[in-house]
Amino acid sequence: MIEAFLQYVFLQRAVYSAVLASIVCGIIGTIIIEKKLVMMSGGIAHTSFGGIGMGFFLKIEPIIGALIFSVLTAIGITTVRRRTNTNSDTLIGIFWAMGMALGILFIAFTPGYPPDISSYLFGDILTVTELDLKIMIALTGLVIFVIVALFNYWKAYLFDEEFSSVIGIKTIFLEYFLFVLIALAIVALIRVVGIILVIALLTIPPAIAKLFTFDLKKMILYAIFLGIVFSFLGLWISYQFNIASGASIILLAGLTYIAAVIIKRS
Amino acid sequence: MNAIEVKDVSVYYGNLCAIRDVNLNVKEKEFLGIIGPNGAGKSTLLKVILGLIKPVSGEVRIFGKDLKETNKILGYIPQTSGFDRNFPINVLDVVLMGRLKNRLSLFHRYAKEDMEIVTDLLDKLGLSDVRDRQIGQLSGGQLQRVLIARALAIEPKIILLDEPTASIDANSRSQIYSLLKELNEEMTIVVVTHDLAAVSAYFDSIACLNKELHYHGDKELDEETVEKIYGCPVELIAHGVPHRVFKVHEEGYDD
Ligand SMILES: Nc1ncnc2c1ncn2[C@@H]1O[C@H](COP(=O)(O)OP(=O)(O)O)[C@@H](O)[C@H]1O
Ligand SMILES: [Mg+2]
Repeated sequence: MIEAFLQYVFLQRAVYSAVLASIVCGIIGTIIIEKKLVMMSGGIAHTSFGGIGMGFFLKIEPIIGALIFSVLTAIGITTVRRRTNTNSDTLIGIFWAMGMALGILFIAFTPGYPPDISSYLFGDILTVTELDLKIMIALTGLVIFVIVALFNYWKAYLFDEEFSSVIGIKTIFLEYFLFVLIALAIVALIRVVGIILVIALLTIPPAIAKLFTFDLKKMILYAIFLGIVFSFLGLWISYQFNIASGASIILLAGLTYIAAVIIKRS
Repeated sequence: MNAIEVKDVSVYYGNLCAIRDVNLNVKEKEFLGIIGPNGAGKSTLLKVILGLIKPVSGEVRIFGKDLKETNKILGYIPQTSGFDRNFPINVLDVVLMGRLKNRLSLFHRYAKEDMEIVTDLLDKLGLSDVRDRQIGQLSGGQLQRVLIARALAIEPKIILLDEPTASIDANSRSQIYSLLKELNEEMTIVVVTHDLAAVSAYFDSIACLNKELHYHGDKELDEETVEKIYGCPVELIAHGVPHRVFKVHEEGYDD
């Protein structure tokens, strides 16, 4: 596989995007687990399918469509939740299904052959394009910068929102900011594991990391490390056996989680 | 000057009226206990003072100013901590949080002074040995002291505590009240409590809330007021509230 890596650009891109995805997952995944935003993130991911459909329909890059949809969904859910008494679970369910439905509608109306949407649904790291990679680099850079630069505030906000607002921290601002970051992260991950599986890559590495540390920063770092291991091994399996990378990465991660829990218990 | 002025404050949750037309002035360095039955709106009142809940009507002034103009004057120890005890954070980091500035600054690091203040507080509250422990691995009393340390790390002028001793043993309880008494030399302290024994031993004054504020004044309450607030004073007293709080001593309520 090493020679192949040196020889084929698509493999190089796959490896770079695996590393980027792992970094994003380690950071954002830890946050969504600790802030109990897993379902929310799933909702944003599925809604972005509407954007992918729109991309095909309008003949713009589908990933750009996904970016627009997921950011708007994140802002939308936050705002509606703050303004009304609607339970966010309900809201997420509504956005989730409507996004998917819109995507299907757009694709149905797209003239010509139906586009291949399975790589967006399940991810295919081996087909990552130059543009995808550039978008991922930009998004990953942004996520790292924002989280590192405001780390102490994020920690306070994630741990105890009420106390943070008592000391005058603008928690509403942080909330919107965080949801937009989650949306960006999801878009960065779609090409690697796809809309349906993204939630697994976000949650499994931090969930394993949490078994072994009580420190937020370490949890993030362990999760990034685990993400890299899973995606490299998953990539290798995918390359060797010619199966979708998303599925192999997730299955590997899931089995490791189960093993880790069992080992930890005994 | 009054440390806290609550003027005609009413709060509704949807259609439910939690507190109505509450007026309360707390003097600087007053040690005030707020009592009242469950659901009386005590926690709500504290949250209004803190600016966590916007009242439907009325206003709150802190040292004569709007809450927005005051900066980190209030410390708060909530009744039920809204956080997850499994959160990956240790005691030191929780207390340090009290030192955060309200303005976001990029790449913020805690200063040496922050560390010193926090180390002192951990010492004072007997938490030095557990400073690196994850907060889920503390006893109830220890966690309560961590929250007190965090509130004190703000270096507030006023500190609000919501049933701080509800779930801890008698020993930690008297420890906490002695500490508060000591802090009271510098700070205004407001405590929501059901612990009338503590009220009589440590507090200056008492306020009785049951949707409306029925009484605020000397801690030696008369029977009539208590009856008015609680509705059924007999039951309350039968639950072990010491008689010496009440001026009018009722022999008949001995259990
Ligand atoms: N977030 C909330 N949403 C709706 N109702 C609430 C909320 N918080 C408190 N209440 C209601 O308001 C009333 C006062 O509550 P609270 O201030 O917690 O009383 P206390 O602290 O005196 O027990 C209660 O009837 C309670 O059920
Ligand atoms: Mg209460």
